[in-house]
Amino acid sequence: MTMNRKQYERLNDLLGWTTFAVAACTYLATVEPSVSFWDCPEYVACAVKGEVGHPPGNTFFLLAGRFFANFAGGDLSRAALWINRMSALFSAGTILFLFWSITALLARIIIRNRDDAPDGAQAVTIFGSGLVGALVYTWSDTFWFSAVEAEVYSFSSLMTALTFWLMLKWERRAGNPRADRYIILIAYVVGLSIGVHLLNLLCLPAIVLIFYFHRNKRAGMLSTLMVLLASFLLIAAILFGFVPGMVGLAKRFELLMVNTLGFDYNMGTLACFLTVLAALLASLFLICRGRLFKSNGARIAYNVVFSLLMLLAGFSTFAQILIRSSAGLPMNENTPDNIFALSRYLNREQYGSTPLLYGQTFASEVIRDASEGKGRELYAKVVKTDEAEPDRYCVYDRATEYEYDYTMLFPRMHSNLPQHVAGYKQWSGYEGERIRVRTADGGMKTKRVPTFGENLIYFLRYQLGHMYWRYFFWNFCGRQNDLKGNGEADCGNWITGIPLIDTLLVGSQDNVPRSIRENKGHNVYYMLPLLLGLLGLAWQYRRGREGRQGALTVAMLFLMTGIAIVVYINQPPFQPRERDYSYAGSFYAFSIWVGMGVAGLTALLHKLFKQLLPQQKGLRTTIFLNVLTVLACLLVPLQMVGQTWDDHDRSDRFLAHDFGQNYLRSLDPNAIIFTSGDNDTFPLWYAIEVEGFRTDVRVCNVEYLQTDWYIDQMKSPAYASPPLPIPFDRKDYAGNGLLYLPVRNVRLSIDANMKDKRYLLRNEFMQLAMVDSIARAGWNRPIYFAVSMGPDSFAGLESYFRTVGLAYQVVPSADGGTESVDIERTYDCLMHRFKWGNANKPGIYLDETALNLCATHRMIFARLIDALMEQGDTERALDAALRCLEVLPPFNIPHDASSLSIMRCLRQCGHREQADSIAQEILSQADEYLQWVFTLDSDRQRSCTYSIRRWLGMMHYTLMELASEDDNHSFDNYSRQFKKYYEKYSSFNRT
Amino acid sequence: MKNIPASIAPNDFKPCFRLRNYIVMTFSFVLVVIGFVLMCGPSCTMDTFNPEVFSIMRTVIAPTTCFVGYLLIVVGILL
Repeated sequence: MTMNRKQYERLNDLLGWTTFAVAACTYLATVEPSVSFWDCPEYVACAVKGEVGHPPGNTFFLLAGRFFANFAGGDLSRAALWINRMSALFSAGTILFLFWSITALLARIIIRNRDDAPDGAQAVTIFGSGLVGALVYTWSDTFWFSAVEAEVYSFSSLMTALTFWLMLKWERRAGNPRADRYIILIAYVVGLSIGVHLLNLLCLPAIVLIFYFHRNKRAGMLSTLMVLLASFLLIAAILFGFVPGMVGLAKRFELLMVNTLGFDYNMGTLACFLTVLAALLASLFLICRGRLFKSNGARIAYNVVFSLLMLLAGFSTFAQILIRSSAGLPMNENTPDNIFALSRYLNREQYGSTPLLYGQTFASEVIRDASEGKGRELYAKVVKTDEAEPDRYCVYDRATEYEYDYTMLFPRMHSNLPQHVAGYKQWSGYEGERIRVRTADGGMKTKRVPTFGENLIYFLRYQLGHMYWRYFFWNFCGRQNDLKGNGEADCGNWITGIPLIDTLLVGSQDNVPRSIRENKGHNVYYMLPLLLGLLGLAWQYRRGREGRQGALTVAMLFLMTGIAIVVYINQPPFQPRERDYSYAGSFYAFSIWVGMGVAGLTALLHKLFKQLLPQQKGLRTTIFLNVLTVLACLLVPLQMVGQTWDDHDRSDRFLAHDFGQNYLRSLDPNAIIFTSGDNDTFPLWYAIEVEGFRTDVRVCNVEYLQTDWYIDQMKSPAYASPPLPIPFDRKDYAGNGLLYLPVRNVRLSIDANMKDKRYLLRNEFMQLAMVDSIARAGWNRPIYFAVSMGPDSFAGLESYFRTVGLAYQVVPSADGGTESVDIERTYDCLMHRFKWGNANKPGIYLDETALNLCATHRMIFARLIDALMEQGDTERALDAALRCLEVLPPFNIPHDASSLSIMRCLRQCGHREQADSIAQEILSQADEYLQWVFTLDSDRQRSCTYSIRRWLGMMHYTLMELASEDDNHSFDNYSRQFKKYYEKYSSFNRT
Repeated sequence: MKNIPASIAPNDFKPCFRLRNYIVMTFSFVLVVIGFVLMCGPSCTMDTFNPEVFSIMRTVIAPTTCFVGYLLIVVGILL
């Protein structure tokens, strides 16, 4: 069994495409058929209609999305599916490059002479490693999640995988001068990928290492470190030099051309681009003529200048933002229609800045504005009083830089929002120390501040442990369930499936409750992928110089796309969702080692075999042993897919699609609806923008209403929706106008409850002003708040609320509240108008976000049923209760507090058996959970306080409900259990 | 610097691109520019909503042209 190099390469291609096909089939079979939650509906709307989404923008992703949406033909309701399929295919492409990267790295170590082909036994190990590594990553949790929805992470992974593979390709062919094309292609891909996600820049150190090791085969430790440092500088140069430098130059051109020379907006930016392009082309021409450098110098200069040119060409996708934003679209976040706004957009300035190496802690107070009048000038388009006025930019504000009274090196606990501070204290075991600090007026005072040690504990326990390693182990060991975890013993921990270890990790594994055991996100791999990966790393590192260098290269990829991101983004606690998708690149790198684990295991077995049977030799035995090892290792990814399929299969899920439309279905014509979160805003935008559903409605996100650009958009007509009644001119609110307003200065025709508020924020003031205008105009336009908003966002208007479907309508009389229901219209919504996204389909996968929205719908059902029962309309109440059980069945959506209303209604309407089965269900679940939780140690119990209270409450109210009937004794044992649990709860609550 | 092949003798610099690379790259970038030009046009104002901003030309043909142009640049580099 021998093959030549060509045959080997052909087989390498064939097997690579086989893994591509497996991955593509997996992802295409499990892709979501329409939009998903979170940012996806926004991205789909931006791609399909060329609109402008949230900073920092992802132009090349949108262009690609639009390309794939073309396959939906004229049926725009299928555009989301096609963009999801784009993610599926791009992810499969990532797998293809992963396979090729593993085999390329292995071939370098295993085959002695570069241009030889491996013998049969070596080929089995090389290909087996590629297959196992690629398939483990294909079916791993985090990567699969992004592969089946319209998010940027799939595309971004593809770009990273492509870059890494191109560099390996270059390395093999570097002898040939035409191989320089691969370097230039990498520059182009990096430029393009800035228009997908900045993550791609993080693979540059690995790229630089490959280049360096190729040039210096015997590179020492010190020089390697210097090169790594240089590669970090390269990233910094692109991120903080090239991009802002180009933008800064464009700003100068723009100011000169528009303000001084009187050209139209954006002409300066265009002139700047053309000038830079001309300069680069001219220097290329001179280099080719040999005017500037000779021989090898010319080759290097040519490649550097050409790479810059291609970086610029890739970066030019951002023209899309300027052009589309200038069209004054209804979705035009931050209105980046000129270079100044675009620069703030790219720098994500709306999100504020996070200190990285030195800065404030949560206990720091601002002493003064250090920039005071000399901060960077912020330019904006001038507010024109007359159409004929020429285009001009003016300084609307100056950037502020604050000086703090207590600063720290490497500050990790930097946010002073109350909920963040609570989390910092919880994770760092805060005690603090007392220090004396300077105050704003020059005096001194004593205060308590976090120590540097606590700062580090927070970094290790939360940022690294909870927000990185936990995700890492999810992918290579196992995951407890798909519930969002904040450190509780029962939510989202990593586990292994090996009882002994899991008992140490998350507590007793006996009688684990259904919420963990039967959760589809409960996946265990018995640490097998992890062990393979560690073995692969060790094996690669011990395979001579090439192995060591290869291991260092992969390690750089692993660290930069993992821990470096953790350090850079400096996350505060209580994130609204799990963030594992950010680190997919790091898990990609580890999967390379998982693949190499096969080679490592083979080597180990050979050693063992040699000791046991020294007389057995020959190629035949070696091949046999290698094939056996590969087959055994292939069981690892197969076991994984058995675990992960059910919680990544999003087929038939229309929840985000239908629930977004349900908000709109709740509203009267011409309505205005205030929203605040991702999941009550983006699906509505999608419905209006892409499917043209209810274009008469205006969705107004109150978080954005804080900004002047959003108020502009709300004051403009959009589709069939007239402008919102905001009674201010642009000059009143532009820049910092009306940012804060003392409450005593506000007079309204309605009596909003301001509690102990002294100031109104701009968005609250705008909301009140709109309601006020509508009230003055005789309530001529319906105005609503989404039920999913927090009470903080209600602007003190709760008493005017009436529930209509998924919205609170603001009505003229102040005798309502969030509990009051417009019975007729809500009944019509729930019984006839709403759609349910296949929530009642057996076997459908509902993750936590989907379940929460199902619970919101069930809550509306409960309010309606209670209101009907109160009126004595038992007939319609029963209809509603049965409808709720039919569309939101308990086998998919476990019973919650709202189910008590259904149970009460069923019981009073004589459906005793059904009511009892709900009671039985709730009580047995609660009993099972509480039984388990009280076997945990006290710290773990304390971490589950929220769930304990919830289940105790459910149990209590269910039993109260049952106690109203004297003849029922079948639940008596639960009463006894409840008393027992309640005593346990009170005793630990006291300590 | 080891392993310098004979093809790069001193004073004889040959770029890694040939004429056909330059032609395809230029053509592709012109395609990108055409795409962006097609994307421009009249806009909405604060007083009027102009459905023309979502015309087939500006939201389908233009971005698709740009995307194809960007892909062809890759071909231009690798030819």
